[in-house]
Amino acid sequence: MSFSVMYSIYAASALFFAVATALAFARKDSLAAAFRWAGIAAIVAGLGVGVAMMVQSWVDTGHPPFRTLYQSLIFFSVTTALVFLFTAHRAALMGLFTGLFVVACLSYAFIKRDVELVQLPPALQSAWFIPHVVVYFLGYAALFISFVASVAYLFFPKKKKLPSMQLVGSETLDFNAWTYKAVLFGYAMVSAGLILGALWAKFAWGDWWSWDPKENWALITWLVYSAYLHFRLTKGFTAKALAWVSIIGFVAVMFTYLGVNYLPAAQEALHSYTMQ
Amino acid sequence: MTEKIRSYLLSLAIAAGTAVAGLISESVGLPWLMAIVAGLLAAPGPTRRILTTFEFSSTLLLILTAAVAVGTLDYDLKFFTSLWFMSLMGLTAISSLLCLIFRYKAGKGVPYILVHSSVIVILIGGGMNFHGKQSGMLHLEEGQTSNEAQLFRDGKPTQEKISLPFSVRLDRFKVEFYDTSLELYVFRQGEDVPAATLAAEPGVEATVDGTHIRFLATREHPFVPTEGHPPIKMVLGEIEVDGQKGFVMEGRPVNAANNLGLVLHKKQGDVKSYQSTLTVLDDKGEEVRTQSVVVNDPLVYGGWWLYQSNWDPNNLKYSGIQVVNDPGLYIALAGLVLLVIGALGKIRFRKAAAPEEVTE
Repeated sequence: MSFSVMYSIYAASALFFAVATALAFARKDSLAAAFRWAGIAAIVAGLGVGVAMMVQSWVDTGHPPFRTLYQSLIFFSVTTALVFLFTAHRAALMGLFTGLFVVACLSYAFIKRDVELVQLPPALQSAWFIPHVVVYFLGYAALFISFVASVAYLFFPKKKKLPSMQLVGSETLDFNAWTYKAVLFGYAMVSAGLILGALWAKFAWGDWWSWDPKENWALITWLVYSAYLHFRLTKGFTAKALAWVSIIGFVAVMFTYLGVNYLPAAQEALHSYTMQ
Repeated sequence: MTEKIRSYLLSLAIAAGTAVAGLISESVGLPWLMAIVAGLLAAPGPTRRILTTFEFSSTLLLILTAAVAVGTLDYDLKFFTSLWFMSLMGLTAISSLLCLIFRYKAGKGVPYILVHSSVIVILIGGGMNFHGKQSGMLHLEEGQTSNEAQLFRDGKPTQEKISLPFSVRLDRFKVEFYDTSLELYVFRQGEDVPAATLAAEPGVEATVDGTHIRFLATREHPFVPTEGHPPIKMVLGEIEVDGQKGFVMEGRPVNAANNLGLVLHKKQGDVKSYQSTLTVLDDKGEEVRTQSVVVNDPLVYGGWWLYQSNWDPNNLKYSGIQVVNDPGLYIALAGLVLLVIGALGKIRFRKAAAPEEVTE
C-alpha cells in the first residue's frame, strides 16, 4: 500500500519538475518556480513515505532494512531524494531526472519485491553493516547527480545565459563544475564505504580484501573516478571527454550495485543480495 | 604524432613493460622484479618525469580498471596474486611515491599528500599480506584441543598443515535458529512465486487481484489419516476470503476465488548464530584465555585472528575455526584510514573550486 503511494508521489514529482522545466524555457519564471516547489514538496513526501516504510520494516523484522535487493532499492530512493534536496533542489532539470530515476529504481524494486520476511544471517549481524551501507548509498546518490550533470554537459557544453534561474538554479550553466563537485562528494563516500567494507571484512571473513566480484567492481568504480580526478588535471583532456569518464563511472556504479549478481563468478561470491 | 599522444603511448608502454617484466619474474623469481623496481626509482630524469605526469597516472588507472574487470570474469585468486598483476600494483605505488617526492611543491595540500601516501601504504600492507600471510582452518569437536590447522592457499583448502604457536580447545559449540514461523502463501495459477505472503497471525490481510484475504486464527487439529491409527496433530489456519470463512490445512493447497491458490506453510527458522567457546593454551599448556567467538567477532591472540567459520549440520559438536595471521594488517589498516581522511578532505561543500592550475 505505502509502496504504491510512494511510487505515485515520485511520479508526480517528475511531472511537476517536467512542467517547471517547460515553463522555465518559456520564461514563465514565477509559474516555473511554483511547479518546482511542488516537485520539491513531492520529493519530500516520497522521502517521508520511504523512511516510514523502512522504520516499519525495521520494527517488524528487528533488523536494519538493507537485507534484500527490494529494501536496498527503497533505501537508494531515500538517499537519492536526500542528496537531491541538499545539493540540487534549485534546479528543476535535476529534479526531473531525479524523479524519473527514483521511479525507475522503484519499478525495479517492485519486480524484485520480497515475497517473505527474511531474517538477518550471522554475517550481517555487525556494527559495520549500517555505516557501510549508508555511506555507499549516499555516495551512489551523489554520483547519480554527477552523471546527470555530465550527460547535460554533452548537450549544453558552453557556459551561456539561461532563460530562467529555475532551470539549474543559476543564470549561467556550468555542468562541468557541477559534475566535479558531485564527484568529489561521491568519491569521498565510496572511498569511505570501500574502507568500512574492508574493515568489516577483516572482522567477518578474515581478510580485508578477498578479490570478491562485488569488491572488485567497487574497486573498479573507485579507479574510474580516480582516473576522472586525474584526467581533469591533464592538459589537453577536453571537458567533453571528462564527461564521458564520469558517465562510464556511473555505469560502473550501477553494475557494482545491480549487475555483479549476474556475473558467472558471483555464484561463489561472498557479497550477494537475497534475490527472489 | 602530437606530444600528447606520444605521452599516452609512452605511459602505456611503461605499464605494459612492467607487466611483462612481472610475467617473466614469475619464472625467474622475485630478485628480478626488485631490480625493475630499483631501476624505475633510479631511472634518469625524463623517465621519472613521465611517471609523475597525469597522462601516466590516468593511463595506469584505466589499465588497472581493465585488469580487475578481466580478472573478475572468473573467480580465481591466482589472477590477482600473479606477479604481472602485482607488478602493476607496484608501479602504482612507485608512481605515487615519485609524485609525492617531485610534485609535492605543486601546492596540492594535505588531502593530496594523504591520498597518495595512503595508496603506497595500502599497497605495502597488501604486499606483506601476500608474502607473509598464513591462513588455515582448525577442525575441532567439543572437548578437542589442537594447534594444527589445515593450510589454505589462495583461499582454497590444501592437504598441508600449519602449526600455531599455541593450542586451541573447543569448549562448546552452539547453533541458534530463528523461530519457526507460519506463513500463508497466495499463488496465482501457473506462477511459481507467491503473489503475496502473509504472516499467519490474526488480523493480517492482503488483497490480490481484487480478492480480499484475511487471516483469522491458528489452531491445532488432531487428524486421523487411517482409521485405527493414532492422530497426527495438524496446524489449521482459519481464514476469510471475500467475507466468507474457511480454513487451510498446513502444507495442503486450497483453491480460492479468482484462480488463486492458498498454502499454509511452516517455515523453519534460518540460522541466527554460531557460537564457539574457545580456550587458548600457551606452549606450556597453561590456559591463557577463554572467549566465545561468533561470526563478526573473532578472537585475537598473538597476532592470530580466530574466526567462527564453519559448521556441520550433521554433527553439531563440530566447529570450523578459521585462523589468520597477516603481518601487513596494521600497515594496511593505517593506509585505509589515511585514504578516508584524505578523500573526505577533498569534499567541497560550497562553491565548486575553479579547475586547479596544471603545472608541468
